[in-house]
Amino acid sequence: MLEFKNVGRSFDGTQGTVEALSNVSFSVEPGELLAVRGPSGCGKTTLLLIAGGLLSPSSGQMILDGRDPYEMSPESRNRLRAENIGFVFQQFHLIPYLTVRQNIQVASVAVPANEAAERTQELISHFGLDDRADHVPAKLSTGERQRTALARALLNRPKVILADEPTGNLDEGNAKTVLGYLSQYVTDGGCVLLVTHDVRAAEHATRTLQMSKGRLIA
Amino acid sequence: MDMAGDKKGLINAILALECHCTGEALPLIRKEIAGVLPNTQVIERGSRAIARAEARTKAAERAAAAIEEEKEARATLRQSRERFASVLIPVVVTACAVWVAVLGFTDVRSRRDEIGILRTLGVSAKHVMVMFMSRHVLLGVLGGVLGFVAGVLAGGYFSAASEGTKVQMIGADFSLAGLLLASVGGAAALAVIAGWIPALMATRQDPAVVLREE
Ligand SMILES: Nc1ncnc2c1ncn2[C@@H]1O[C@H](COP(=O)(O)OP(=O)(O)O)[C@@H](O)[C@H]1O
Ligand SMILES: [Mg+2]
Repeated sequence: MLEFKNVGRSFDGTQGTVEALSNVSFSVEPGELLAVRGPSGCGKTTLLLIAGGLLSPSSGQMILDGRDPYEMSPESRNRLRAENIGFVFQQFHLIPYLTVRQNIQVASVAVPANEAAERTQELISHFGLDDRADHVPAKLSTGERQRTALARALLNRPKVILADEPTGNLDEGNAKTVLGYLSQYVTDGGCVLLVTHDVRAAEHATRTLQMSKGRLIA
Repeated sequence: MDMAGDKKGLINAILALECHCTGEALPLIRKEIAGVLPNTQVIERGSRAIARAEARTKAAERAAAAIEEEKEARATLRQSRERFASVLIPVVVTACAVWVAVLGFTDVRSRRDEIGILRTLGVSAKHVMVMFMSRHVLLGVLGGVLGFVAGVLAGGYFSAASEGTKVQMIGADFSLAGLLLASVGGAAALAVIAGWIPALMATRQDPAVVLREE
């Protein structure tokens, strides 16, 4: 589903060129929750951005569902991302002035409007957000915010979920809940690429890769 | 007077027309009449009414002059107000536009985050733009309605103190509905124009920059 082929990525900074990723190869298939673990600054977010079609690799190739998004026009790449990928972040990245319901439905580009409303309600119930549906993010607990972000990620029935430190701002209980939902999504045939420095998160993975200084080491 | 002497017993009143006999001339005339027609009572009949009428006319003239003066004063005041407004209105409109743009730019950080996340979710730049501008239009319309209500209330209050309660727009007479339309449309247009550049800048941002922030 998702395949990295000798991917490298460098950044030109003020102190010369930084090699954020070098020669990274792996793949994730449906039914897998792959955790990539490594310390801060080792290149995890860079890896995820490349997987999400948001950052082009300097070398190598990334294939998503048989296609290379970086060979497409920006509009088609947008579409590919909307239809195939769900994102979950440490910072939730909810839109502050939209309610939970609106936040979930905002990305309904791949679903017809009436179906999107139905799907949104389904997800609200699934994530236990019924009595929070009309609140704005500021009124939610962090656990509720992350569940909202998860619901939003799932709206378009993506084939892949990309998660960057999804439990970084959550307590033990909420972290377990969120990882439980990701596991369930994988059991239902989904595919998750999770990058984290958190050991707990890796416990829910079907497979774990270790990363250090831009390279996979195990 | 001689003739009058012959008609003794036949005449009981003589009306003197257009005589110059008002005021201090009256005692003199009384003396003369007493010589010709003794026991005749001389009274001043018409002059009081005339004097009153004259006084009334004069008062009316004075009032008219006062009204004219007042009108002139008001016209001058109105003119100076119009001149003031013709300077003030563009200044206020420009200041508002600048203020909205400044708010738009200071808002650009939170806006950049939101736009970044929307772009990440696959929402097209065009769609994001429409979303943001419709929010701006909404805020503009709201501002226009509030401004209209505040303006009409304030105008009514101040003109009640001077010119009666008729609400007028300087330079042209607008109906209230026209004024509402003008303020709402103007405010919305202003909001769109001033919000356009920050929103456009934000859509140009690389969403990856936003996502990388921890
Ligand atoms: N836009 C950029 N410009 C310059 N250097 C960057 C940029 N993005 C990331 N880096 C560098 O790449 C390395 C990996 O960063 P990142 O992928 O964010 O690591 P992680 O998510 O594991 O903490 C870091 O050394 C970081 O400073
Ligand atoms: Mg990171």
